[in-house]
Amino acid sequence: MGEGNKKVAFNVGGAIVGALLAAVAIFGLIAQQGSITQPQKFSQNIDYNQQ
Amino acid sequence: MMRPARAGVRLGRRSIGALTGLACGLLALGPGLRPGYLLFYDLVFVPKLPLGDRTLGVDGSVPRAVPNDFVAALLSQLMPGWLAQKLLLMAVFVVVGAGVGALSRTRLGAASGALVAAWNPYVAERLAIGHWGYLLGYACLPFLAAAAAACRDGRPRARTRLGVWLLLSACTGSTGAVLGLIVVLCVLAVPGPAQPARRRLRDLGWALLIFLLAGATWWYAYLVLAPSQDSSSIGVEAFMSRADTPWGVVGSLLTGGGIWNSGVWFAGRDSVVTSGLALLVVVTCVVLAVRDRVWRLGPALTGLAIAGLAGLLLAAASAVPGLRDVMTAAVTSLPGGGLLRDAQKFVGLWVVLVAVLAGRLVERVREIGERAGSGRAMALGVAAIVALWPLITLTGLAWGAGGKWRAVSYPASYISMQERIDALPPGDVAVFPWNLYRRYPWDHDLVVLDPWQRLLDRRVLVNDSLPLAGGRDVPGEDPDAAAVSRALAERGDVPQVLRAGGVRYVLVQTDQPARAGMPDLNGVRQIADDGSLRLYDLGTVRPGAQDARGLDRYAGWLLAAAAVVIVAARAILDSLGVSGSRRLTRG
Repeated sequence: MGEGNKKVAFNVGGAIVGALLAAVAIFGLIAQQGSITQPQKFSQNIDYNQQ
Repeated sequence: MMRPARAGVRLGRRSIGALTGLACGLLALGPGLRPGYLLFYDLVFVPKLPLGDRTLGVDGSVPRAVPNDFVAALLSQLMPGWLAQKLLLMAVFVVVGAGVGALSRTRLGAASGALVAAWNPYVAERLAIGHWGYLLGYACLPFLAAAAAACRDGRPRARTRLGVWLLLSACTGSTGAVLGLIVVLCVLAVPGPAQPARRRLRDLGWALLIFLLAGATWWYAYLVLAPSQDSSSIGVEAFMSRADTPWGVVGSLLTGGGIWNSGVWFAGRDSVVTSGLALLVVVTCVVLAVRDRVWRLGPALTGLAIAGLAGLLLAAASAVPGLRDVMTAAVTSLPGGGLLRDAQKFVGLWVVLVAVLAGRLVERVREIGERAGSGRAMALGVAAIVALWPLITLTGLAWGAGGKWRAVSYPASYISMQERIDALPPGDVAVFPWNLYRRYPWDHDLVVLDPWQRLLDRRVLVNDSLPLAGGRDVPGEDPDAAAVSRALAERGDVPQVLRAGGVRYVLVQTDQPARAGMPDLNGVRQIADDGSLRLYDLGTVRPGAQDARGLDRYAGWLLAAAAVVIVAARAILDSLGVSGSRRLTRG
């Protein structure tokens, strides 16, 4: 592969990786928003863990 | 004409790592950094933690937060407890960032390695469950690796440096100290360039001596003062590593997660895409490390690699069918085997290794870009984007775990009740309802360890059994607490049992579910009623067994003081030796 092609490959690859990471970040943020639950209600049992 | 002085300061790798850690800490804690206390699970700080026998771990209870509670108590004498809490939590991020940064080759590697070390599921989950002592111990690991490597290289003052970091590691508690010792032993023992066997043995002996002396605050209390602990096999099963990703236990551990409590798992970890990306990067880092034979790059990396693999194996063992029995036997039979119970904590060793390797991965991306002729800026830009993978795969940690970690103040009634009890005649206090954990409306109903053990400067009897989902308990160790549990279960005379255990005062928290167990206090004199708190006086009791203990209970602290003296003496000798050689050189 020539120097020019290598440069293009790296730049395009970098752009694709950047776009993919941005998509995953947005996906993660949406998942986080969806996971925010209402305040826990009063419960008769208080446990150290959750199953 | 004089050339103008070059403006600006060129930061070193350690400083860049520390700044990266600082940024991570600010972003992770977010609103939790406001004045007030972060109170959830085992994260309990109070305005002024008393410097008493409980804090020193010599009150006969199992010393689970020794000596890190002593550190918190010391700091809270100098500043408000909430400020001490924030400083200690921020120190986790800054110290681990600085340590990993210093182990990196370049400033880019330092920044990206520090980002991984400070922003990963291990830090997030352990923070969410309040294990700040573990995390401070984790933060010391890269510094311990570097100090041990300096010993291997025979650098001046290296043993003093190692001694200082072993002392600091000991301050973080038993888990942090053991993690640190594993790293140090691995770095000192791994094969490498020729080093006189005698010197290597001396280094190992020095490390073990300081570890044993400095750690006496907790091991002496465990072995001599605390009630004999028969670790329950229920605990092994409850606290074994679990899969918080779709990639199984090992896949979860490889990415730094896998804690047993699903209540502290983070959003996005259950996604194939997000956790898959994290796993892909970790595997790539490992493949690159194997290809580069990083174990040839010096004892620090070699030792970290062995320690990381050992940590991964320990963390995974309790979840592997064949090895689970071995772990159960070790936890329930070996003295001190309880340290292996919550085995996921050992994956911290692996995470430090991954952080250093991730720094190398990002450096490699930049090198590829520069070799391809993309230009320095473009190569750096792509490398920087790749370096952001920890943030991208764990967005749930940002801004106080999505606003979940909020600083709160103790109600005024708590402070006034604390002052009232402190002014009362001697006598232990029992806290009801009979459960170790609470959910307070003023703390957003988060599960939190009962704070009264830390609020009061006297013995506080609590139910030390760990309540687990599904109605099971991991039995506690305190015989007085066990007697109260039996009396409650058999509807016996609980006040009588309390008196027999040296308890004079009963504090009832009326905003907590009573199902956990409430004694019948009809006929018992109520001496205070403030908000959700009621205080009862059972009458004068004879002093408990705690009052009859001798001064020998402080033996562990004397040994720890000896460790400090030895390291200080070594530092003085080092400086005398250096100045002496300087004089000789000048003369």
